[in-house]
Amino acid sequence: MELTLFIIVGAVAVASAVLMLISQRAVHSALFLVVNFACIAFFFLMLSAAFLAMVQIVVYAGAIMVLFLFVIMLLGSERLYPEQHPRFPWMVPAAIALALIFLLAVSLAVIQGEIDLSGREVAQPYVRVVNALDQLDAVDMYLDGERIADDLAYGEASEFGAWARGRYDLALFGPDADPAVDAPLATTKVDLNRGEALSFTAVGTRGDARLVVAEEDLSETDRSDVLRVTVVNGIRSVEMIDVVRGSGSSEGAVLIDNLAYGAASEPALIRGGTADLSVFSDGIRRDRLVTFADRALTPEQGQLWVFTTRAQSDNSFEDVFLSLESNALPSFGSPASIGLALFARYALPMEMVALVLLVAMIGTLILTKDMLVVRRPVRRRLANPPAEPQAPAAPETASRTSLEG
Amino acid sequence: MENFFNLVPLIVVLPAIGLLINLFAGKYLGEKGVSIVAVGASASAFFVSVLLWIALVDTGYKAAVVDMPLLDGWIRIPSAGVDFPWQFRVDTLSVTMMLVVTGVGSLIHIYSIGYMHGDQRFPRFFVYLNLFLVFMLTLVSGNNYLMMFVGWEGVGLCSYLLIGFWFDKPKGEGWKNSEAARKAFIANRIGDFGVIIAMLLTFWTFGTLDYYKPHEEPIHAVAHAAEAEEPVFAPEVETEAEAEAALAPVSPLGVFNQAHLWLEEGGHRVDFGLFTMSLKGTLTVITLLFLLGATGKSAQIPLFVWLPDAMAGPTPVSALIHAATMVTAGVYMMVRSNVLFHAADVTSFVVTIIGATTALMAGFIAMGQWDIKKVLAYSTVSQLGFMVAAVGVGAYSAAMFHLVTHAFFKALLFLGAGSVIHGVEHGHHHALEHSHGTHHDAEPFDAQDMRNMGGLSRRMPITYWTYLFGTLALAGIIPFAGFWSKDEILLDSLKLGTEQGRLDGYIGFALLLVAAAFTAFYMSRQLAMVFWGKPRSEAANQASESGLPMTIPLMALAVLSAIGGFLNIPDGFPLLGSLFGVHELTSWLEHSVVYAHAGSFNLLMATIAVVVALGAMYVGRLIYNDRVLLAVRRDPLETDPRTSRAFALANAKLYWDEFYFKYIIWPFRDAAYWLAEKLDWAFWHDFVHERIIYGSFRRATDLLSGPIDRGIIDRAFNDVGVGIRAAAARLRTVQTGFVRTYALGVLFGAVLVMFIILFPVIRELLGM
Amino acid sequence: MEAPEVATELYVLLSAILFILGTLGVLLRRNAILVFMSIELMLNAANLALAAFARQWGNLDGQLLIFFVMTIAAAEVAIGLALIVAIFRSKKSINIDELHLFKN
Repeated sequence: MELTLFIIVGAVAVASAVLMLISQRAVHSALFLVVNFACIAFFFLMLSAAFLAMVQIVVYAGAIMVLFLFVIMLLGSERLYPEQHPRFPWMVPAAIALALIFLLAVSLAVIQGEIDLSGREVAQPYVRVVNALDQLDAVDMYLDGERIADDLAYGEASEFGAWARGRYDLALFGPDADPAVDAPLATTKVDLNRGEALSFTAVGTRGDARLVVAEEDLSETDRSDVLRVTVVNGIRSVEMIDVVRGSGSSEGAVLIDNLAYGAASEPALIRGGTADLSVFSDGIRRDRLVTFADRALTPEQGQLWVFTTRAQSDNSFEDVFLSLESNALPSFGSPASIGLALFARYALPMEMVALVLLVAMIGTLILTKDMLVVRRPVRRRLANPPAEPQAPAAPETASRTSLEG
Repeated sequence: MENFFNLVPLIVVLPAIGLLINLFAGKYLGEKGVSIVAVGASASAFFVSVLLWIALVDTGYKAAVVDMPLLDGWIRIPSAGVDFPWQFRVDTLSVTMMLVVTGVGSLIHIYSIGYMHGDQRFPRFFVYLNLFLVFMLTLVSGNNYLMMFVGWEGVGLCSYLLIGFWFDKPKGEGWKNSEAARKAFIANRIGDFGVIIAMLLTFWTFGTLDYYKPHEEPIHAVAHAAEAEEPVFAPEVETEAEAEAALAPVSPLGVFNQAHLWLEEGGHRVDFGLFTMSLKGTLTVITLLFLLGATGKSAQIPLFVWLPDAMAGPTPVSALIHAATMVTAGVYMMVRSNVLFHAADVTSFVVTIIGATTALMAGFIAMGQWDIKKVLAYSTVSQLGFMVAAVGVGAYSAAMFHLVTHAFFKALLFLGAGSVIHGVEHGHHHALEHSHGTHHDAEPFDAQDMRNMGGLSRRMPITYWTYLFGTLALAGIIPFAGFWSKDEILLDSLKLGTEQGRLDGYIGFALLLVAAAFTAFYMSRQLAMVFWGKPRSEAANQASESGLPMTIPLMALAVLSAIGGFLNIPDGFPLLGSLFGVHELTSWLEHSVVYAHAGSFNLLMATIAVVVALGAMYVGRLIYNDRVLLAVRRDPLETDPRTSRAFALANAKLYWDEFYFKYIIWPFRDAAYWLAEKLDWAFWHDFVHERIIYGSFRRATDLLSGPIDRGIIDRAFNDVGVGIRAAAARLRTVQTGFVRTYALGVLFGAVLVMFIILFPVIRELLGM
Repeated sequence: MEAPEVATELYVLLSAILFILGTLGVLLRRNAILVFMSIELMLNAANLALAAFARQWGNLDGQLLIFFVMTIAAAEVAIGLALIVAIFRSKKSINIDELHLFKN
């Protein structure tokens, strides 16, 4: 289906290009070019570049082509009179020969696989840091010596950041620690694979810290009444926990089953709404540790749940439930993703392009002012004229005189 | 009175001060001031000399050695053992010379005041005279050969300066004067060469140039010492320091004592590196070289030719330098070196022959001269020959005696001649003033030509009488000074022949006797031509006596010429010996001249000498009688066919100059010309430099610059330039200015890049 | 992300064809406006290839580059057309073969 469409639209595109090329009237050429632009826009859609397709239609087929047509009409030069003596008669065969060679070379490259099309590369891994570490107000996190979280307060999560694939050493430090000198509170090795979204969650205490790597799914949910949760167990006092919807002992759906201390669950889809959440120990759901009442479960959202404890001033422990939002990443080629990239990674180039546009604007204004245009072209003399004034007229001079005559 | 010895530097310093004053302030002092300064310097030096004499007598004739203050170590190279101090030696010999030099010099200074009156370079003349005194006294007072040589060269310089004093006289006279000066200088240079070599040999042989070290006394020959007055010579009690110094290992002895000791030991050989030579042989060589120096300075064969020409200088100069003092330097040197000369028999023989021959030859030439000063000049040469012959026969005290007396009477004669010339010139001017044009300047008048004189005895009586004294002294008429000294020389040479059977004694005696006869003859000829008879020219007729400054020295010298001989009355001469003492000069000199010995008196000998002299004078007066002179106005000997050839020979100075010119100077000049023109210019410059070095370099550079530089290197760069230009001209057509062609170029480039990228693929595809 | 049905090679080929057509337009047409249009065609062909590769690698950078190309192209067209207007005013022609100010 797609291939058929591609062939049809591609044929239209080529045909319109050829027609643009050969039509004698400039207006016709412009119109054929509009058709060609439309075809390109269609291809952009097929290549999951919806935003660019829109821009193509609006900017190219719209604004630019209008500009072209306007100039053609303004100058009344839609048609050139054919010349008796084409200036470069050898240009046509030369250009066509070069064009054929070019096509041949491209074909060769494509056929020979010289263009690397092997990869089906998707998004890079994304990582973030969550601080659920007791007894420390803030933590630093280093990935192979590079800091990914700085003074992260308790109960907070950093933003997801794209990271290169590979195997890394993850190290947890207290605030104001020097990674080159001080010993880390905890270390672990992590593999970053493509498409992953990892939350490095620090749990435990200062003396017995533990790093939990929770893999999340950031894609959008198919249904609008569900949300996706990933659970991390940070309660040290028990071996395993179960997380159950509701406050009762046996009734209610079990959301997470047998989650060991220091482990993270698989992402799970749950229904949205308001609910009580109870945590049981030991996997037999007899020993309820704590119940968090009336929690709002917002659908169409990803959430990371961290259950942990926190030491109080009277040496008792308080159970803590951290619910951290993990927003879905925008889809490929969407206006949102392009906008995000533009305003984040490509901010500076965009500023420069904006500057270029401004210069173009001013330049256009200056160029079209009368004052500049009426200036006579200055005949320049070479500082050192060629030393053959009496030589017979060069061929190009002859052709020029014949042209002007 | 020993302190007087310390005054000896003054005899050099005082004339030096005088000359410096006249040099820098002479222009402003005027003739009177200059005269006072110069004569004062000279006279004070004479005074110092007298003081030294007194001191020497007072201390028992013991020689004293005094260092020149400040300059005593003027050449000192301790590492090489070279030490030439500027030391003055005050002994009887040097004091004798000092007295003669300063005494006669002072008289001549006074004389010069009158003679040089009105000369535009009056101060300069006295500067030169004082300079001469400085050097002459340095010569005689030094304690080593090097100091003597400094003076030796210095008096040569003064001689040169004074001979050419009138270098700017008109009509070529000045040119002749300067030529004479150069001739003197060059002839002396040849002699100086001998002295330098002799000094080097002496230093090599003895390791020192000192005559005697300060602590030494001359060692006298054994036989001699026995008859000498022992207590007088005995050295005073040696201090310990002197005894130590006597034992010092490095050249503890001066030249003479060392030579004496070695000769007594015998068998000493001198090592010259490549060969060794016996001490006697070495001394012979040394003394022969010293003799060469003496022939230059004292005008002996073969280097005497400069002295007659030196009469071009002012007459006082002739008197002082070229008669009384400087020319005796050679004699002084040989007397000073009497130890060496005594040891060298061969040299003694040569010295005798040279001296006697010179005496005879110069006397002969003097007979044929018309110039009043030339006669005296040759006479001087002749008398110097007497002295040299005396040295040759070992009569050192006789040589010194003759030196002193000769200084008196020859100075007197020259000054008298100067007075005559002065007077005749005055007469000439006088005559010109009165004749109103009968005498033109075009007709040259020679005031020195004796043929223009005659009858001056009446016009210039003082000059005449003093001149007569000088003539008698020179001719050797008893009792004038020349008689005693000449007689002693003749007797000593004859004694050498009779007592030691030496041939040179006989030869010397024979030649000198003839020369003495010649002397008497040419002096009577001169008297006859100058003073006797009637004036033969208007100038002579109107000549006038010179002023007091000139006549006072004449009279003083006349007295000295008359009584100077009493200095050394020989043993056995009646009456006078007891009056003036016997052998005064000899015994005086014995203290410093080891081999001085007293001459005896032989009545027969003296009679022969006086008779020969009187006879020669009589013959001269006979030939040159007034009648003949007035009649022919030519020389009677010239006109007489029997003697005309001999006279011509004498008149032409025996063709010495011609001989030198023909066989030495012209060949030398030819050789020099050949060396300069052929060897240096043609071969060295034209061939070696021009052809080989320059030419080959030129060819090489031509090759480098032509084919290589221009042909290859330049051409390469030019061709590159031309090529680039041509390529650019072609390439410029690519730059059409049309955007479409540029676009095609870009496309072509893009395709090319693509091909480069795809090159591995294409190669794989084609199976390469 | 569903697997694409149309191979990237085809897009590349199509892009190449359109690009070379644009090139021919630049080389062979003498009307300055048409030359400009051809340039736009070439840019679009390049954009197409960029989009294809962006999808291929799942990388958004390619699409961002397209965005920038479009922006610059808009600026270029504005300036270029202004130039053409200016040239037409002075030379009364937009035949690029008559424009050779670089060479007298």
